[in-house]
Formats: sequence, structure tokens, C-alpha cells
Amino acid sequence: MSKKLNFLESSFCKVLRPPQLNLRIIKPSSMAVFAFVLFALFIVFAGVIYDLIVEPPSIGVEYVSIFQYNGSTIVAMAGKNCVAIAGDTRFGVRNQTVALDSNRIFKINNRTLFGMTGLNTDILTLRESFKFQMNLYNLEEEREISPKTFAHNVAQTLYSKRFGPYFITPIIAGLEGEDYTPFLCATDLIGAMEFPKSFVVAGTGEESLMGVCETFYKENMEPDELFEVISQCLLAAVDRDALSGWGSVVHVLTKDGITTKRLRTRKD
Amino acid sequence: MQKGGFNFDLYQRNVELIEKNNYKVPKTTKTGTTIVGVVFSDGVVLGADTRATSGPIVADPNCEKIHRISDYIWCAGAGTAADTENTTGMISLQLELLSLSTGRSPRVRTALTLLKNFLFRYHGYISAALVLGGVDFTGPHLHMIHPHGSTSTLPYISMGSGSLAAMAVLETGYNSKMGEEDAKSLVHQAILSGILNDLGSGGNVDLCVIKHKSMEFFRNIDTTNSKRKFRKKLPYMFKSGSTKILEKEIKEKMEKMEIVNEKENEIEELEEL
Repeated sequence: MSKKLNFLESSFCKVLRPPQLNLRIIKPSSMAVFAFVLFALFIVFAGVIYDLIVEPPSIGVEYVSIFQYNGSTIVAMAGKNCVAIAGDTRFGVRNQTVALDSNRIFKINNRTLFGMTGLNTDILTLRESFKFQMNLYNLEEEREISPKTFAHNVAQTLYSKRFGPYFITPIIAGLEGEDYTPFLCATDLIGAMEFPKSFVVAGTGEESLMGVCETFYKENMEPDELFEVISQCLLAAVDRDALSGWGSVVHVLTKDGITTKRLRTRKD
Repeated sequence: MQKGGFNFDLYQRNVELIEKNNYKVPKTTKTGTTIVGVVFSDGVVLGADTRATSGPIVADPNCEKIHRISDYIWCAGAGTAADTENTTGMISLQLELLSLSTGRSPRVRTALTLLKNFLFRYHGYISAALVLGGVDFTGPHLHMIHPHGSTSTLPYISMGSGSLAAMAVLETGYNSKMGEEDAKSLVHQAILSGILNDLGSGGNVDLCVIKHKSMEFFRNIDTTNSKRKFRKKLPYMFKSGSTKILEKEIKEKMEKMEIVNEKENEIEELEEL
């Protein structure tokens, strides 16, 4: 055994010599070692916490609009002394559907219907805010608000939040004046109003809706025909939009009252 | 109730929603626009197209871009639609109050100063590019106002995404001795060139002719772009009952309720006890 080692020693170790490093032997104190270990542990744990909480792993839904977080669609059309407003009733959070009966179209008074699309939390907040403002208006003015005034009220509320807006697109549909002339108004999220005479669309399905409405819309439709046209437009458009659907509701407003009908849509 | 002015309550929430989750900032309605103003011998002609866009989609094919500041001072606006409407509306009311308190008819230069001071305070965040024109007792005036608050006074102006197309027509056709008809037709041609050559402008042409103590507004003077030639003659007919209904509810119009006197008597009886 020793002969073999001597051979190795003599052949290899003569060529390969360890370098002559004049190192000082460091003998750290126990507190220093403890501090170093504690610091290393802190770095590791901080990294883990950052990774889990500040940048949590998620299904990569990047560069998508905030309006697609909940997803909804609303359309309103004008007929002869009547207006109709229709919307879907899905309440979803990104890809998951949470409820099938969320109502986004509200009655302000006998002459005005108000629908909103966009972020659901803002829809609910603004619903309460407008309810409060309208109650105060009724008490102060002792009359019901006209749809045009209400539309301007909505636009002003939205523009006051110009630099931190509510993420909604509202639609106001009503009958204006003694003649019950149809009134339609849509605004963008900061209150730029438009007053078309035919139809307004809003929501994640608005691009498909514009196409079908341009095709099927006629002027001076009676309430029955208006209901058929607006229903077919909404059903066609929500079929092409993944984030809307799961039930729909149509309100037709005439001088005699509101007729509400629920329609069956595809449940996917 | 809300006080006046801008409300920044939701700013923090929006920063966290949008930036931390990498959502895109939502599109506002813009007026891509071609707006033009020209001074002629007796007054000012303002012109604008009528298209409002939301991204690549036309939100409103026939919107009004020429806003009233005062009876003989009008302003055409390009940029974010909500900003132009509300800025011109605000300055219009300030000018009205000023003219009532001074007892004098308003000057174009006052409107200009109010607008530029307002826009400069917000350092361009209020995206409103304006062409302000009018006739006051000092004569006709035409100014351009940029979103950051800088202004220029010129005899002919074009702004908006179609400004290059319109300016080409203005540079060719303008001369300082134009009459009303020449100025109107020049502005008309400039707006048309913007509508045809720029994707952000379209629709109809609006004109506004302002002279001393007279104003004529020609809404939709040219609608050749709006009439669809090959529209299906017989529209689609949906027979009554083609849509299947799950539930139906009819709410008749509710009348106001009247107070019944019987209850008052009941309360009186209780008090006696």
C-alpha cells in the first residue's frame, strides 16, 4: 500500500504542486457567523414573499382592457313614440361566470331607462349615486326628471372624474316631452355625449352589435316590431361575444308603461 | 353633494387596477377631425367635419364640433370629445358672467385668454385643440389654441388629424381679399379634403359664418359622404313572435298617489287618548 502511494506521490505530485498561497486562517466569532446565517435566511424569505404576494403567479391576461374584466352588452333603439333597451344578464369575473341574473338596466322614472356596461363595481356605485341624486331632484323640483336632463347629469358626474374615471359606458333611453319623442344618449367613460336618432350600443359586444343594428334597424317601428328587431340584434351579437350572454332582458318603454321580457340565450 | 371642479377620489384605485394588473387604458371618444378657420373681409368662417371615433370604430358619424362660446364667438374643437365640450362650455359660462358684470359685449381675445390659461393649468392633460373665431367690436379675429396652452393668431388655420390635408387646400386657395362666398367655398374644400384623405375625419361638413352682429350656422351643408348608395331596398322583416320569450312582465305607468284624509283622523284620536 505504501509503495503504491509512494509511486503516485513521486510521479504526479512532482509535477502538480499545490500553489503557495499565504492565507491567513480566519476564525470568525460565533456572533458573526450567526449574523451571516440570519441575513442569508432573511434574503431567501424576502424573495419568496415578493414572488408570492407582490407578483403572484396568474393566468397571463396581460394587455386586455379593464372593460373586459366583467363583460356585458347593452343596446337601445328608438321606434315610433317608443324606445327599447336590451342587455345581457351575465355577471362574470374574467373567464368565470358568477351569476346569471345581474341587472344592469335601471328605471329612473316612468319616462327614462338607464343602462350601464363596464366594471360591475362602478355600475353598482353609480346606481346608488344616481338614485340618491334623483331622489333629491324629485324632492326639490317636485317633478320627474326629463331624459335629456338626466343624460347631462350623467355626463357631468362622469367628467368630474376626468382624471380618475369610472370604468362604465352608460346608455340613457327615454321619451321626451308631451309628444313622447324617443330620446337616446350614449357617453364614453368620461362623459362625451352623443345623441343618435336610431340606436346606441355599449359593452364588450359593441362591435358586433353595431353591425347587426345597422342592418336590421328601420325607422318608425311600432313597439312589437321594435321588440323583435332589438331582440334579434342582441341575441346575434352576444353569440359572438364570449364575455356576454347567459340570459338577456328587453324593456320596451311606451307612454303606457314598460314591458319587460326575458329571452333565452346560449349558455356558454 | 359634489362641489365643483375635478374629483380625484378614484385615481389611486385606477392606478392599482390598471398598472398593477397590466390592463390597457380604456379608449375615450376622440374627434380625429379636420377643423379649419379663415378670415375674410367682413368676418370669419369656421368649418369642421362630423366624425367622432373610439379607437378604430366610428362612435358618432354626425357629431357637432363647432361650439358656441358667445353669440358671435364660436369655437371648433379637436382632441378628446369630452374635453372640448366641457372646456368650451366652461369658458362660455365664464364669458357670459364676465360680460354681465362688465356690461360690455365679450371680446374674442378674452375668450382666448380664458381658454389658454385654463388649458395651461393642466399642462396638456386636457386634450383640447381649438380653433377660436369671432367678430367683436374690434373686428374679426381667428386664433388657434394647442392643448398645452400656446396660441397663435393667423388669417387661416387648420387643426386636427386632417390638418395637413386641409392646410394644403388653404395655402393654395387663400388670398387676403376674399369675400364671403369665396371664403365659404375655400373652407368647404379644405374640410372635404380632410374628410377624403384622413381616416380620422369623415361624415358631413359643418360651416359657421360670423360677421358683425350676424351668425349663420350651416349644419350638414354637405352630406355626400353619408348617403349609402347601395342599401338593400326591402329591409329585413321579423314576424311578430319570431323571438321566443321566457318571461313577460307589464308595468303600467304609475300615477302619483294622493294623501287620504282618513289617516289624519286616526292620528288625532290617538293624541286624545
